[in-house]
Amino acid sequence: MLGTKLTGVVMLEMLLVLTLLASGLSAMLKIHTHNEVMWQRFTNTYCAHLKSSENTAQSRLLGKGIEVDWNNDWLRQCGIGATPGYETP
Amino acid sequence: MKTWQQGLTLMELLMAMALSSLVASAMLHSISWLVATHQQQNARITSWERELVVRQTFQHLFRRLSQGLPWSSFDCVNDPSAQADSLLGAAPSSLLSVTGSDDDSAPSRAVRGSDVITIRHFGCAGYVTEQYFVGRHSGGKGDERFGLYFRERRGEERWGYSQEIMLGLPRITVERCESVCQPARNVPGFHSAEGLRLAFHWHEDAVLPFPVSYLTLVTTAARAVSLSPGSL
Repeated sequence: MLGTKLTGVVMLEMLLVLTLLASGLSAMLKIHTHNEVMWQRFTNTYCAHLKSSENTAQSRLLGKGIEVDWNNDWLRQCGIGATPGYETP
Repeated sequence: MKTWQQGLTLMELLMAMALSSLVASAMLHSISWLVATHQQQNARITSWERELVVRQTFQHLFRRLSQGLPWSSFDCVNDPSAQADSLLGAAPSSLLSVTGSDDDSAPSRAVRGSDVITIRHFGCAGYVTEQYFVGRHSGGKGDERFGLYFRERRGEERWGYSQEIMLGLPRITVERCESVCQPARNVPGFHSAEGLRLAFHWHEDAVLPFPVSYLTLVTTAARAVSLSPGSL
């Protein structure tokens, strides 16, 4: 009788532990997703600003008759996908 | 089945221990993940902040220049600047407190081998608001040793506190735009340029989607008469 009760307690503990682990994993996933979404939003905005700013300056130089022979390839990877150096857990 | 003193079987005890280990290990992993995430976020923010600070500072400098306000700049000299040298030899990513130079009116000198920049930026009306940039050519030994420093000096006192923050730029290159934009070796004479194109070379550990970022600056049409630095 006592043994059965203890087994029940242990099973309950297992359940609690598994619940704890599941909520921990869920919280980590939420933090990760939130970070990524916010970061993506920030980089998109900043990169759009960079692109617009550089394009405007380039146009103004062209308007002054200055030969502008570069393209803005360096911004190609800006604002699309994750920034380098980040590893998904 | 063998029963423990309090009524636990050996199997139950082993299961309890396994569960405890699992919980402890999971907690440790969570903590280390949270720390890594925090560091990662910090690195991201720092990298972008540096990009923004460098960009805004040069935009500000150039705006002053295009408005006819002095952007005093100095040729490279062969004498090394001891302060710049000591700063350049410091560990990366450190925040450094420095003392002012003996002569506040003297220009900060370009370090030996610099191809680009030592800029002294005078505030208006004679009060001291200075921003120095000390750049160094990356062609020397060990690019990691070289950096760009931004000094902000505040305070009403002549010897206000100052600090320099290493921004993590191993190199800046400048193109001067007249009829075309061409690499410029010297800072002087930029007041007559129609525009500038600056390239900021970032360290490899910068969390940016580009290794080099560019800033194109155009002078405004309503350019005022340039003032000489000595007129302040």
